[in-house]
Amino acid sequence: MSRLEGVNAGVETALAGKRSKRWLFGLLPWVLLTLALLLVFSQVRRPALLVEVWVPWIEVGALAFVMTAIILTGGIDLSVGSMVALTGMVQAVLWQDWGWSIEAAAAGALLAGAGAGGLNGLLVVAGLSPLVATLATMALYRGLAITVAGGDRVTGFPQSFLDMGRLLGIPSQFWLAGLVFLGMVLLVHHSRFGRWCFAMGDNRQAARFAAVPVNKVEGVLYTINGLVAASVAVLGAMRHDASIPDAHIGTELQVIACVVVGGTLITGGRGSVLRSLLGLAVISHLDVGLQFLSSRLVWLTAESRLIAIGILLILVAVWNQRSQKES
Amino acid sequence: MLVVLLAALGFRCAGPEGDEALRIAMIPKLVGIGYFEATEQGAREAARELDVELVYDGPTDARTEDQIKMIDGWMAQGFDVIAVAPNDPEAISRTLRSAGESGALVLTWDTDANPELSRRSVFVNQAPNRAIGHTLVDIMAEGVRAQGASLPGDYLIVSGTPTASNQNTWMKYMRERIREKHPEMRLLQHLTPGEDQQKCQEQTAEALSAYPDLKGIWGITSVSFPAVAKAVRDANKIGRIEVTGLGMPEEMREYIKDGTVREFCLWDPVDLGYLTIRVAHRLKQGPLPAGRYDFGRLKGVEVRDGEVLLGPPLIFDADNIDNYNF
Repeated sequence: MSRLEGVNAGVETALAGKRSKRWLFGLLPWVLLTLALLLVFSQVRRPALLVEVWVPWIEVGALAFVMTAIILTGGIDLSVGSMVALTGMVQAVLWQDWGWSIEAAAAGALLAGAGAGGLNGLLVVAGLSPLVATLATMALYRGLAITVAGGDRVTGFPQSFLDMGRLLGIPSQFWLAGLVFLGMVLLVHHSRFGRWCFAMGDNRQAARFAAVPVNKVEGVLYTINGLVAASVAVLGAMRHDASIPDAHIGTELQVIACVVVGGTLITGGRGSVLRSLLGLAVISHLDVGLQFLSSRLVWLTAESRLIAIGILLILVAVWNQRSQKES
Repeated sequence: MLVVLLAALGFRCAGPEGDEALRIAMIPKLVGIGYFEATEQGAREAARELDVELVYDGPTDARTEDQIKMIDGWMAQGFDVIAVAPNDPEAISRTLRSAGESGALVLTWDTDANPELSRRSVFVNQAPNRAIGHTLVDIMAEGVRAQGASLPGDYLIVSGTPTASNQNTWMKYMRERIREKHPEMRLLQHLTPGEDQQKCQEQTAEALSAYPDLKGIWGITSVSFPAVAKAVRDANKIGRIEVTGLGMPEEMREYIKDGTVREFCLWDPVDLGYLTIRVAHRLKQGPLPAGRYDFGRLKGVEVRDGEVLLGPPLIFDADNIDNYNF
């Protein structure tokens, strides 16, 4: 719209003005990020331990990179937090009650993840709206996670397994997120598969006519999501020596927030994996920064931090919307 | 945003380097409920007296993941003491252990973590489980007699979730007391409706009509106790069914006033918070061998290996309930 008006006006300088304005809009998340960084680092006495603080957000990040591709196709996966819990419990039960070795149980968890993700894919391919399908499996997988071990969390994994929680001195979650990031960048931005994703998000019907294998793309993406969820679960068990049935409640919302704050369109068709990394950085810095700050400011309680994060996210979302209209 | 930033920078300039006040981070199971607001009140009182810096913060839902996240953050911030009321005694243990290894003094309060795995220094225990179990049975026996009824009959315990270790331990000691002192009290299979007020009330109401010889009911969580009282009142059985348990004075006041409940017990959560900070401060000065100690206004507190005991439970009745506001 605005572009048309600009052309109609026929004034080149107006266009240039809009462009620089767009740049400013785009910069907002970075400015926020820098501010948040300042907050964080003004509070730290043992910077080496920051790595540990970030682990939960790195888990969210790994899931967000896959979610980006799903959202690009016009889909969504609300069951991701439940899948992490379920696969974690599957591993625990295979090991504790079925007597599998811990490695075999981890492999079993990955299989279960692929299965759970595959079922999501099947439902979507069968024509259910992704929102409805994964809303249903979110409840289903959570219910199963609580049922398989009778609602109990499982602890006491072998030491050799727990030792794998760190690789080259840093938590393994970072390696996982790095791998997933690279993989998804290649898949989404440097392959034919990626072009299919964008085409589907742009116009699903048109994509079908253009011989895009819509079903295959969806099946693959939701299955990958299940696999990554299972990997997060296995690494989480290594880190905490526990599989917890009510873990990761609400993780799906954090994951989607990272994608959307990064500026990927929730309706699909436009966005990037790199943007989700940016979104992750903004949200995690705000969250950690506010928590650190709260140890200095008594009024910054857990409740008021939630309010602050909510307001900031609204601002960023509005900003994204506006800057997208401009372009 | 700007204000927040300036505030942060201001704090940075004001600098923690100069003053070396002890920095204590204390985490409840969750924030926003009366019980843990009362413990905060006591903790702040002790922090003021001792001139230590206290951060009292916790998750908005009682979840281990959120507690772990906050504890990791406090480790990076270099707190001297981290005092934790774990939501899950096992799942939090590895985090507590790394906190200890990073140089912080780690202690637990309200609920203990796994002592070996977590390597926490001490557990500040609100009341010995045995004393709570025994007191609950004694109050019930007195109450039934005070109604002019005889002791023999059916009795019911309404607990919370089946796996809650506190409640299960209390029930163990309640059974022990009944066996030893009041064998004529017949215990029915206890109910575990979960931490759900509605379900507690429904299941209690069913029990009231199912067991004609029911003499008394215990509600042994802060959720089940008021629910039991409400069910008994709604069934017009005040004065015929004795109700007691563990609960907060604020929530039980109306049932004490209308006579549904005659007496109940709980430890004093304000004192629990107070004692936790006092113990943390004392531990920073050196080891705490078994014995009896004065911690500020709390005199003669018993310390035994790895545990600090707050003391016998408080008993609330119509005469004293208005003195407590938690």
